[in-house]
Amino acid sequence: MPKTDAEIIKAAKEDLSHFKPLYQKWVSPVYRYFLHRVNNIKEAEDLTSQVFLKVIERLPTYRENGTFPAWLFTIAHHQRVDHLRSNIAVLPLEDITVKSLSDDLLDQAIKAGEYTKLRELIRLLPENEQELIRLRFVAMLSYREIALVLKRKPDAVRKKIFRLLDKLEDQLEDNYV
Amino acid sequence: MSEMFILSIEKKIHRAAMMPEPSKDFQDRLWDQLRTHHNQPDTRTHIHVLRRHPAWIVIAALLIVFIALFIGFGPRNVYAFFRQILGIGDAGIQSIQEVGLVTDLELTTVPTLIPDESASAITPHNATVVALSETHEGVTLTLDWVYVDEGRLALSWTTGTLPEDLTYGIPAISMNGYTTPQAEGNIQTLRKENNQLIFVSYQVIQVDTVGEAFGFNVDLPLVRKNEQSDESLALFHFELQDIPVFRGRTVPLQQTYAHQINGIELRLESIQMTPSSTELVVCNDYPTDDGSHWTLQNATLQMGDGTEENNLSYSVLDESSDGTCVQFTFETSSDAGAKHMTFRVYELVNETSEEVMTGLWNFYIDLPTTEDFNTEVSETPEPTPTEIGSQTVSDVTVTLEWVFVDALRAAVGYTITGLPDVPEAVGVQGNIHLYDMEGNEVGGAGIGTSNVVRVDDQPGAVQGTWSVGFMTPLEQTEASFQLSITLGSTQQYEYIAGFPISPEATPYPAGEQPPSLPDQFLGTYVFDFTTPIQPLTVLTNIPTVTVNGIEVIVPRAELTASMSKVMICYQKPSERDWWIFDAVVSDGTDESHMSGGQVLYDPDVSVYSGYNTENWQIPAEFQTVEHGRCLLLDFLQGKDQSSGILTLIIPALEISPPEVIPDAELEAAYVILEAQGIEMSYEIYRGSGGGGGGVTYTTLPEGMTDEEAYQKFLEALGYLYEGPWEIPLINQE
Repeated sequence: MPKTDAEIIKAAKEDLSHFKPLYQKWVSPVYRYFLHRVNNIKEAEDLTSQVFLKVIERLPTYRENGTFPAWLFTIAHHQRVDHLRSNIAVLPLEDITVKSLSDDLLDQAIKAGEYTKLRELIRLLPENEQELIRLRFVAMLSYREIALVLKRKPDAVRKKIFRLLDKLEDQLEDNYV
Repeated sequence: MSEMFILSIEKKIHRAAMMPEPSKDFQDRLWDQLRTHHNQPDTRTHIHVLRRHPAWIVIAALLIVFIALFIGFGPRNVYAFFRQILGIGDAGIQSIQEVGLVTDLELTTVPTLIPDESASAITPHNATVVALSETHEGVTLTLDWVYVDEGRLALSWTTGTLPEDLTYGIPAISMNGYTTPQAEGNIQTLRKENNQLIFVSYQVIQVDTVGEAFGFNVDLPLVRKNEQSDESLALFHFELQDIPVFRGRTVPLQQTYAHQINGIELRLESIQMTPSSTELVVCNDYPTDDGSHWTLQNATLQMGDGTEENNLSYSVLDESSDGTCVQFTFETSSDAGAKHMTFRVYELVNETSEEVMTGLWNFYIDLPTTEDFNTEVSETPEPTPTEIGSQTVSDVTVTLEWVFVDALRAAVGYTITGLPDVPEAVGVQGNIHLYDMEGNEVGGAGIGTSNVVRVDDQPGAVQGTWSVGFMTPLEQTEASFQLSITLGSTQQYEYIAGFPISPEATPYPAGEQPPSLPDQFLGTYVFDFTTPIQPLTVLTNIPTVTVNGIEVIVPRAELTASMSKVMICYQKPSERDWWIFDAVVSDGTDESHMSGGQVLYDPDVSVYSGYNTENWQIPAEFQTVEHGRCLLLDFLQGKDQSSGILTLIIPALEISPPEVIPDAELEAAYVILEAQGIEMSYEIYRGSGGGGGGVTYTTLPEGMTDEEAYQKFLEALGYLYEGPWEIPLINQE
């Protein structure tokens, strides 16, 4: 019977090897979250390492009153804020090669270059709006988890993301009309 | 925008934001690193941000020196000092100063880095004892003392053990229409080591406005913490009257409220320390008028002279177009033991442009403890007997030995000497009454006791105790009363109490009035006294207990040191008068049977209660229950604190047998009883004054008493519904 996150963490407080399933599940979303922000593999790896080191350090004080992903990304979110201050140069998005795109019907329906344009539009968003996109579409957190990370109400997060999608769609249509 | 469209754009963004996975090699390396790190001793520090930015250390140090010099030498001298050491004598610098291109560093509120000696030398007045208790969600909170001067308002509670997920919010203080000018922040510390909660609020309360004593209400929320939001479970409500207000600032506690640098003011509104974390609420106005939002960042907390700790998280509490309030959370514990701490904010960041404004907004905070207040005289007075005084009339002396008053009951103990030595006297004639200082008689709850006994080896000496229950619980912490004891009676059969009768005593001949003491009317002895009032504990959310298919709920119970009042509600088995003829409260050592009770609610019968039922509201959800009934039961046993156990035991619900049991019910009962080996007859008699019935047993099973057989009889009649219901009123062993 699969264990819950809380059960895994409880066991991991005694023996870290129990933490591995959670690590394996979340190392990739955290890494992709940072990669989307810094566009630099080495920096993303470094930031991911720092987040998980903090997770391990704070594991004894973890309280099961939210969700583990929300707690994890709260740490990642603060790591990102610290990173903003460190003024590391951000590489252009084109430097990152995304290999896993598949050709499905949706791809065919979308005009060539639409993804690139959408990435540019996202990059032009204010940082706090980019953060919403990262948490929702890169880290794949739920609205509730995002609300926990950003200390906002879930409904407010949901509305804000919907407004953001609306704006991006309008901007995208303006480019292809 | 349609839902279909949203799905579509979501998919596009998913793809546009798609990032490659981390390499397998990185994942394995990091896992190994985590395992290695985990096995190392914890050497982490909390100043990595500063370490990565040594410039901050220099700036912070310079600012601290600058602030310290300001305090020590004043702005003019410090400015001259900096001109000298920084060489601000060159023409270029002088010219830009002259044309006004420099921005002066404004420090309108200078933080006090350490309390000065004069502050430490302050001797506070005595704190005012309150000793009011309330219980919600199984947690009992006692407001021990209060201290108010013109700059501080302090409250100290003792708290029962809090469940892991519960804590207290910041209390709301309402001052009966008085709004305190210059509210300058507050701090609340909850310490596990002594289960103490102290709240100190900094504001101005002017004696010339409110008087030398005033009243105010305190509402302290009990909250369940979770990451999404705090859930308020209950409010502890305390109404305080006649609390002294001392002139001046008489407590050596300080807390920086506002610090302004270059026109940007940060205000430290509230601090809440618990054994697991420290939360600080800081508010600021936005420095620009362009509508962009600014967030406080890079904040640290330093306990005493320890290392600076970075905040664990922050959340925006309130945001408007003009400013924001942010809550910072640190891991710092209230049990860390420091006497003061320093909160620093280093940056203000524009959320849109990411522009950073730097500064060092610095807040000094004293951590209040009981030692900061004079509570030597504040211990709750124990209900120890105290000799109040003696009065003599016609050689008969009445000495009031002790008094005791709690929120529900008053009791006195007295001795009478000089009475005639009449061994055959059956009791003491007269009456006892208690009045408040306005002359109103106190009591009326239908609760009272009175006992007298002869004093061994002292002919003509009697000791007595007397008590009376209050219609409405007293809310004062102290009150004055007048007790009158009248000895002798102008009315026949008016007795204070009778002496205990020996089982071997010979009954007095019928038709003959036995002698009593005194043998003539003596007069009234009047005693004025002032006494502390022991507090009331209110219990709510008491577990319900279901036995034999009937659920008994206890919406509320009131306890004092001397008695208990318990409200119970249950669904009667039928529309008939299902009553509780006996119930017991037990603390595991002593137990008391109910001394009285009344129906508070029963739609099946017409209920009139002259009792003040304001505090005994029928739960709304119970008002739709068919055949629902609520009773208020009184017990002359209480509890002076809410720890330990106190259990209410209800053995059974019963219907009072009617004066004459109908034949059909009797015949049905006989059949049931015969099967149990019980044979009996029920005899009916009638007279001019009414009628009745009596039971005669002809056969009983071996060992069964008449009383047990009667219970079986009631059960067979369907007049008895057995429990027992054992309800834990307090269960904090």
